[in-house]
Amino acid sequence: MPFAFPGCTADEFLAFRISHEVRDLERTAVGTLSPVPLLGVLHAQASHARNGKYLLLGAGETPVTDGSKELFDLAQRGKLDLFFLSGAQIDRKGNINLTCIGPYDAPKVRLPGGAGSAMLYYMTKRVVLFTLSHSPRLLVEKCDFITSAASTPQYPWRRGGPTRLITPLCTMEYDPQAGEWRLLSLHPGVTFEEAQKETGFPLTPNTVPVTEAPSPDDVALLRAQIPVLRNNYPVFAEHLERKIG
Amino acid sequence: MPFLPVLGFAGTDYEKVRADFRRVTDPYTGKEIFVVPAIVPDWAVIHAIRADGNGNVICSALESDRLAVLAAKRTIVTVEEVVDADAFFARPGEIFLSSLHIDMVVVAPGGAHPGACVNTYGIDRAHVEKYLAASKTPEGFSSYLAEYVHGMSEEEYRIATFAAKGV
Repeated sequence: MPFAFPGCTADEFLAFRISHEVRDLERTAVGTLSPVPLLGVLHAQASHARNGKYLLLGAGETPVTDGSKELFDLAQRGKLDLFFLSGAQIDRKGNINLTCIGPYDAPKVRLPGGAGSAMLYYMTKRVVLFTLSHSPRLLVEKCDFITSAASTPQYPWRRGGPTRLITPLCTMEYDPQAGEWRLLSLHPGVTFEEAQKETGFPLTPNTVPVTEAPSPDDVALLRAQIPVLRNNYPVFAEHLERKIG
Repeated sequence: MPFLPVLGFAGTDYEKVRADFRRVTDPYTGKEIFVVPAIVPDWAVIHAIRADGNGNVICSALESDRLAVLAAKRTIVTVEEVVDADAFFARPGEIFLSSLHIDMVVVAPGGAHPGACVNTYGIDRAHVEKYLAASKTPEGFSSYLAEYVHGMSEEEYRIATFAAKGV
């Protein structure tokens, strides 16, 4: 799947797509182990969403005094507009697996667990999924274990759920009626056939626009955020700087 | 609090593997809601930043350290230092934790190493990488223990890990 993005690294391209999902005047949060969403949200905060409220774990000063509990309570009260999740598996129906590969009782791989995502996926108004690779092992027909459910009977009630899936090959949008992903755009240079070959479920429709790439100004603005990333993601920041050259 | 109602969870596989996640009727709305039982650890051991002479401590506000202490039956808090009353206050990112909840305070400067201690020192990345590499095999893990845990006193460990770097 190696594939060159025009004028930026893959991480920056994904971060730019993340930035597009951030809206001004909303409450946006970024969790732990999420350097790419953090980069994207920092870009948004520095460009089109300056007046939003941000709870960015791992970006220096966090405006909370009660750690992740404060984030979870914010979401349950209905005051979190946008959050980002990824998974070891994401399925056709939008479910996420962060628990185990293989059967739960005899897993091939035991994963770190959901860390609140079973609730956040319900209670955040929009959840954008991102993946740093795109393969049939990751994008599967059905998750081995559903840690976070995308569309379930509205029981007891749910506030939001997935809206977008951003991968190194394409973007998808979630259709809540069908309860499935729809292909939204293919990244520059990626054909439908290539994306389909790397995806474990059928993609539709097969004719979609090319994903808008970041302008040189956007790339510069993304790179200006690297010092903030260095606080909590020193290894990621170093790798990014090395790739930029 | 014996259990906590939690929104979400419906449609996930937690219900198949966690018999203790139950659905109950919300007495106020009549709708079903998930409840999860309280976690009550026998012990909580956390590292805090400073203590006063009365066993109160200031710890990190950003992790769940304080929550763990409030949940556990018995608790030990290690601290970087004991300070006078006029220096005993919480800075941003720190929070007060009363001695009411603490069974024992242990003075252990550098006690979070190779992890970080908020506002005090960061993660020792080189040491963490060394540990991760060593712990890939039982032999490597044993040799790590032999070198850093069984092979030296606390003071020697501090000198080897902190003082050597001039921290």
